[in-house]
Amino acid sequence: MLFSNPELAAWMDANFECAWRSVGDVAVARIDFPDGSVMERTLGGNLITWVCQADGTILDVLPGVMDVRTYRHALQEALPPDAQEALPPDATEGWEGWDGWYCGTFPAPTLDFTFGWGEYLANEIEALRSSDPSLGSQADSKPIALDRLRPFPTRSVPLPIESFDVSVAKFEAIEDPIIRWVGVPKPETFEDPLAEDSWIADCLLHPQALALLALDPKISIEDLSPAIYRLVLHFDVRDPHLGLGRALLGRSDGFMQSEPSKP
Amino acid sequence: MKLFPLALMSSLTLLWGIAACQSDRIREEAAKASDFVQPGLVAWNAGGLEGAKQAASVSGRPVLLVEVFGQLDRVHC
Repeated sequence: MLFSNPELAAWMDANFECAWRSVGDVAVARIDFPDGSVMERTLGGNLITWVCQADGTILDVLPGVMDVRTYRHALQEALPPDAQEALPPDATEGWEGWDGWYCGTFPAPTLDFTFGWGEYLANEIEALRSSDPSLGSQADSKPIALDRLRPFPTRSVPLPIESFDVSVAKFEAIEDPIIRWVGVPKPETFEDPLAEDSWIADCLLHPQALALLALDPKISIEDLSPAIYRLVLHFDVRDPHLGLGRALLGRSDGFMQSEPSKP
Repeated sequence: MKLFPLALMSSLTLLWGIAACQSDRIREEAAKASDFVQPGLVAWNAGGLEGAKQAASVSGRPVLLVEVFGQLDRVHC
């Protein structure tokens, strides 16, 4: 368990005021094997780590599961600059992130830290505005309700770039400036499943969450949290079956009916 | 007079049943209690997010809030 690591726990206590809360019940799967043994474990245990100021202003948001090293590094980068400078010189040794992909976000997240997901989101919103005139234009500065957005794709996606970006791309000698890929390349192999989860959380989910935060940096945790679960973690908190119904039972939806069907 | 041993047997059976139920209930409660675990080694603020915000306003440290499904302090969280 992440929070049972003594070094990490001590470091968290020294640098943060820590709290946790439950946002819903978790599903418990129980399998009775023919030999009498029983396996019981939880499913869908997603978590989000928020870093905020005393007034609730969000400084950073880390969705997903990370190993100790990645988590510690991400939290370190989320600290305000003066707190980072106050760390002992050896405090950062051994806690490097994923080859420097990670960027700090303080004081306010901008699209620069989203590895293209912010631009992807801007394109999505522009497409929404085009299809629904009631949403107004970008010039109206009318915010788009987060529940209108589609979940982020789970892989990097090609993103058409504007003429200005094309000229920049040409300047940087990119051969094909028509589209570019949003996100960062995923390594082909990982040491273990947790290492892969850590990479996904740090290099994919984190920039996506920052892209959402950048839409409204003053948004509260309560307002942003459901959107992070749905759009980034692909986990609808309103679904009583926690998104597991179809995954577990495929097309046999009849088994998931909460009330017996009438003859 | 023959009814006395029968009544005694019935009473004893009833008492045994109550005791068995009680011990089952105690076992269940003990099992539930054992489901609780220490939520890691972090000194979590007992007041939750609001408590952490208050502490942050005094200490100057930022707040770290972990949101989970289930409970951090349960075996099956």
